[in-house]
Amino acid sequence: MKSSGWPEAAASLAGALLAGFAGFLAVAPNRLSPASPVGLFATGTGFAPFIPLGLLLVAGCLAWRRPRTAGAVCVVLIWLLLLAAGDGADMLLRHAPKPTRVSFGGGFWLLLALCALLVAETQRLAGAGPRLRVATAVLVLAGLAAIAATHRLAGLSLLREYATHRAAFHAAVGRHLLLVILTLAGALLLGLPLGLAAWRYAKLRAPIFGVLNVVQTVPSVALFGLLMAPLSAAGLGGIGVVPAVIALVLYALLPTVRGLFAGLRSVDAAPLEAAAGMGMSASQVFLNVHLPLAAPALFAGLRVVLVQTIGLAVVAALIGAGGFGEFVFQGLGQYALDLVLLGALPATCLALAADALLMLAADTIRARVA
Amino acid sequence: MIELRHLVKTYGDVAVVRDVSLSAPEAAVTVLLGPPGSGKSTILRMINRLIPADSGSVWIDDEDTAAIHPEALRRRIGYVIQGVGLFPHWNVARNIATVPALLGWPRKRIAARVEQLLDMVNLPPDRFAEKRPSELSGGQAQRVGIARALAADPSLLLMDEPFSALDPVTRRDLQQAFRRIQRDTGKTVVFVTHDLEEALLLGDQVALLRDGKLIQHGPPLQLLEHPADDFVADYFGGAAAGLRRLTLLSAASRAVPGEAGGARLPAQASLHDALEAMLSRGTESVALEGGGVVTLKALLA
Repeated sequence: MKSSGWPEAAASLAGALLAGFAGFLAVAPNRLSPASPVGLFATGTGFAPFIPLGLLLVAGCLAWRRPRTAGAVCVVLIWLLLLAAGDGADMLLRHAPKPTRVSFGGGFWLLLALCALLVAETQRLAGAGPRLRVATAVLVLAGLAAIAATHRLAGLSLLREYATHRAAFHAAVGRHLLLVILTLAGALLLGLPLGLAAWRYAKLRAPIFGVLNVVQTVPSVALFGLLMAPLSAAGLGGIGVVPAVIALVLYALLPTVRGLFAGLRSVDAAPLEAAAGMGMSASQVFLNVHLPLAAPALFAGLRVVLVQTIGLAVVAALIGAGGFGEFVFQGLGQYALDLVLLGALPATCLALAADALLMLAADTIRARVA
Repeated sequence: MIELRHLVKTYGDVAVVRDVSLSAPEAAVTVLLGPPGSGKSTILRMINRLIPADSGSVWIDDEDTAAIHPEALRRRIGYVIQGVGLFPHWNVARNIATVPALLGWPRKRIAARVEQLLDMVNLPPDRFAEKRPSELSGGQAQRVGIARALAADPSLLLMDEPFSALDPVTRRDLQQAFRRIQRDTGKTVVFVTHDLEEALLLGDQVALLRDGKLIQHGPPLQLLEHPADDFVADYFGGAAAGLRRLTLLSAASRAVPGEAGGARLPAQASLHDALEAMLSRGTESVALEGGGVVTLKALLA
């Protein structure tokens, strides 16, 4: 479905206007004091004029029905926003006292969100497939990483927090990934047999889904807390990686089990009857025909598992499991919002990347199956 | 030859198949005909043991099928169903290769066999071998279904309403293709349908079932001309029975020496074809290829 693109063009015009007025960066006398906004042009960066101009160009492209060009400009704009923020921070810090901190302001976030939204919308207008979407996401992230690597962003408070916590940050990346991988493994190990049982034995269906649904409704902080007593009694310890993974696996079970169950049930009866009628054994029917045809739904479930686990693992820092959550809670405690961002941003990027990858995998499998 | 002896199947209180005994001759098509719920599909599935019989037995070439491992038995029997049931994640060639692969044939032999079968069902291998089932029309898919059932060269073929879901033109095409293949290969076929025209067109033998009971069994002409009871007479068309009968009689059998104008009918044309030609041409006689004519008088005799 292709629509006109006029709403998107109007949004980019509004963004062009906004760029001139809203606080693009925020300056604070030190790490912990409240900040005051500084407009894009007031930062003194040479990149400033290109941002409203770029948005006008996007609006023009959309009005002339060139969604692909508009999308490409938006990608460049995302990079430009970051360059402008980094350069603006350097300008503002040039004559400022040493403890001064420059953070992203509301205007920056709004413009970033607008550009990201426009990239997604232009792809929809251009009828882009999942491959192009994932490729675009990779391109955007690679560009951001390249910009960060040039130290052009070093003036920003977020990057200064990173510089201070460099070793802890790298440990957190590894720990967060470990939590996610262990949880995924646990969810598959327990969830696949449970999904199989729910599909095979009608009597088990209600109890399995009943219990998993209840688990899903327990708030994550409460579940981490609830597990502490029984786990320490069992000698596993109430805090650290083990209880965190146990709680995360419990949450991951419902989407895994439901994905496999729904997949197995959705398979058309005719290929199964044909397979049995041609002399496949029960296990051959299951492995050669039934399971491959159920795979798309299972992958959709695993996509939910991954995104959900990456987010919930942030909370797991509360029981000492480490990961990005450590910075989030430290930052909240010290009211150092850039430290919160140091944890929240990579967790969000990781979730987006996992989502895109699984979407691509599910799409590839669906194309093979359908 | 395949023999059903006193087959019985009951689900709860409902008798689905009630003491059915029947023999299907070698290299012929035996049609199990009957309204929905008459037990014909259940009987077919009892032959390859997808459904276990409550009592009674099935004998294939004087071997009791109960003594054969079900999977081994099914690999010896071709099976074609209404929904086709091609495996959507495999291409056409791999679908056809299913049973040979289960039997562990060497790869070269499988490839050669797949090619031969695609030719047999009139799907050029270079165009169709790599296609996915989703890229096929309904008729093409069922051609692949038939090729898949014939892959390991089974002597017996079971077909469960294989053409019912197709549009009339495609169905007619496939029925003719199937008749040709059956004659060429000499397979013994048990064919389930509720469609009388199809039964008359394809069946060497027709077994009419109702409520799980075998009502009458014999060559189609016999059921048409000597129905055992009112149900059989009704099922075979009541007032239209006279026209149906013409489709089963060959024009050559009523031919007399002589000459007639207009195009000649093919030698294997039925009396129905001859009457059709007379009506459309406004004549009272038509010539046959290979000599002789059919006259209206002879047709009515």
